[in-house]
This record gives sequence, C-alpha cells and structure tokens, in this order.
Amino acid sequence: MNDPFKSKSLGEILSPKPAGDRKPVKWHGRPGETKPLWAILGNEPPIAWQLEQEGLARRQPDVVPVQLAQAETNEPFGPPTPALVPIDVPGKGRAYFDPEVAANVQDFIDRTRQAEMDVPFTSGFRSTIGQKGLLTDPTATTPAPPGNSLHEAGRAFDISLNNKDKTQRYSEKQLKEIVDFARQSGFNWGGDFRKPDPGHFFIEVPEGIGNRRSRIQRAQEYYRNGLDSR
Amino acid sequence: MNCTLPKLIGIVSLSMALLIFTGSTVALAQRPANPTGTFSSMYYNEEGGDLLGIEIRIVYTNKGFQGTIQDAQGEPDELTLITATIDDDNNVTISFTDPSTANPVTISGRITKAGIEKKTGWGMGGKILKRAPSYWEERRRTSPP
Repeated sequence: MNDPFKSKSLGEILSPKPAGDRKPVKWHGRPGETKPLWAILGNEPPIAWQLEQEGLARRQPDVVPVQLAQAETNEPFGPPTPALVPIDVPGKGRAYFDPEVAANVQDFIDRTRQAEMDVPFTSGFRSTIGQKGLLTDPTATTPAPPGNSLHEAGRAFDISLNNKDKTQRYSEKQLKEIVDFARQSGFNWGGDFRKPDPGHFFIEVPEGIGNRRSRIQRAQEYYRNGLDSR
Repeated sequence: MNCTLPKLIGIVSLSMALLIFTGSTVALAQRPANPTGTFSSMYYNEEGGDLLGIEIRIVYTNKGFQGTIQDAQGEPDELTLITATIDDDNNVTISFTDPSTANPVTISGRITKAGIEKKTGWGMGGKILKRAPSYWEERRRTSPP
C-alpha cells in the first residue's frame, strides 16, 4: 500500500521516473571537458548534474540574471535603495532629496500649504558641478565649499524670500512662521548661521558635519548614473 | 602801505582760487552719476553653500538703455534682459519679465554714484544696490560688497 506520508528523497520528487527504474548514470565527457572528481572516484553523480542531464535545470537561467544584477550593486539583499527621490515642490517643480529627509520636505510643504503660504522653493539637490558654478575658489575651505554642501547630498533646500508672485518680500512675521513650520518638520535654519542665509533649511547627516562626504558621493554617483533620464 | 598791496593781491588770488575750486567741486557733485554700470549685492554664503543677492548691469545701446538682471536666492536665476528708462535726474525704471513667474516686473529707483537708491518693486524695499564689480568677475565670499 502506498503510504502518502512516507518521506521522499529529492531525486524522487524531481525525477519523472521512479528511482528504481533509473539506468546507471555514466559520465560522457565532451571534447575539452575535464573529468569531474565524482567520475574519477566512481561515485554517484551529484543531483545537480543529474538534473542538468534531464533538462530540469533549464529553469535556472531565469534566475541567474537577477542574481547578477544584484551582485553588481552594493546592495546584496535586494534592489538598491535610491540615493535621491523626486518631490514636486512649489515654485520649482521636481526637486530631488535624500530619501531620509524626503518625508520631512513633504511635511514642510504640507504645513505651508495648510497655512495658504505655498512657499516657493529655489533649490534642492545640487550637483557638485553646479555647486562649483556658484563658487570656483580653490582657497575655499570652510564649511561648505563645493564637495561639502548639504545641497549636494540632497539634504538641504532653499526658499524664495519673496512671495509666490515675487511682488513683495515675506514680512518678518511671515518668515518666522515659515521657519517654525520648517523646524516642526525637522529642519535647521540657515538664519542661525554666523552669516545668516535666511532662505536655507537643512538636516545634517546623522554621522555629523565632518562626515558629509560619503553621503555626497553616494548622491552624486546616483545623479551621474542617470538621474536626469528618470 | 607798500607791504599791504602784495598781501591784498595774495588774499584776492587765494580767494579766487578757492572759489574756483569750490565751484568746480559743487558742479562735479551736481553732475548726474553715470547711469550705466554694474550694481551688485551678490555673494556666496559659505555656511549654506548658497549664492545670495541680486545683480543688475545697465549698458547703453542704439535702442536705449538695456542690460541684465540676475537674482540669486540659493542658486542664481537665469540671466534676464532688462530695459531701463532713465530721465535727466537719473530716475530709472527697469522693466523685464520675471523668469520664474513669467510676470512682468518693474523696479524703480534713482541711480547715483553709490548705486541704485530707493528701489521699489519686486520685493526690493528701499535698500541701495551698490555699484560693485560683477560677482562673476570678482567672486565674493561671506558678505555682500
């Protein structure tokens, strides 16, 4: 009687024929092919080799390219996390940000919209070439020369200090309200700098100001690898 | 008396010279400033890594006074052509189309030797925009000119 609970070997599960009906497997080397160790020793061939002979391993190529694609990235456990994500910002359209701060940016936009301010953005992520365009000065060393600005990491944005129509500047009261919204959304304000930059908001890298480079490099690399075409 | 005449001549000559000098100085001071030139508050804020300020350049052409304007609030806007109408007292009206809003904009003020004063329009309440070399020629860091 056939016991349905009897455990089966892998060969029995995969093989279309009962194990007992199988012919002894022999290795036939193809020209130029090295004889495998199991054949030299006269052992049973490995199951993978048997499956290959029976054509069952043909399914595998579907899997291989995916594995290779993953291996080419630095993220072996899944698709790579984007270094920058797009957000539609008022006054500018699409701007890019570090995914770590994207929710904060959206929260700030939502808060200003709820207050019917719709603050226009002037800048978000900036390429290092763009940053250099603002200041090409090899003597610039501190603290945000090209290659060290949080804009290059997608962790800073600028707003226009003029209202949406640019007809007038925000009053001090309005600007304070905007700054409060930004702080509630987790941002620091450039107005607190020694030389104030009142339209600038940022979130420092978690590793600290001295460790911006790796974040910047990651974002810049992502940008260079085709952010423009996305 | 013999001593007094040369003294008198000296005094008169000195007075005349002083008068001529003062007159020419006053005349120079009253002469309107050159309406053309570059007026800039643009500078690079190192801490934020941002370019801030505004720059206006006015030149003369066979179609009148024209020039360019560039506003920077983080990153510089695209360079925009302006038309400047300037009267005999150097009162100036600058007209252009805002590149970010496509709205027509008018800035008014008075051009002096120091810069464009008493500006109104485009959120430029009253501050002087100083005559200064272009930021793109003389890159400034930390503070405006």
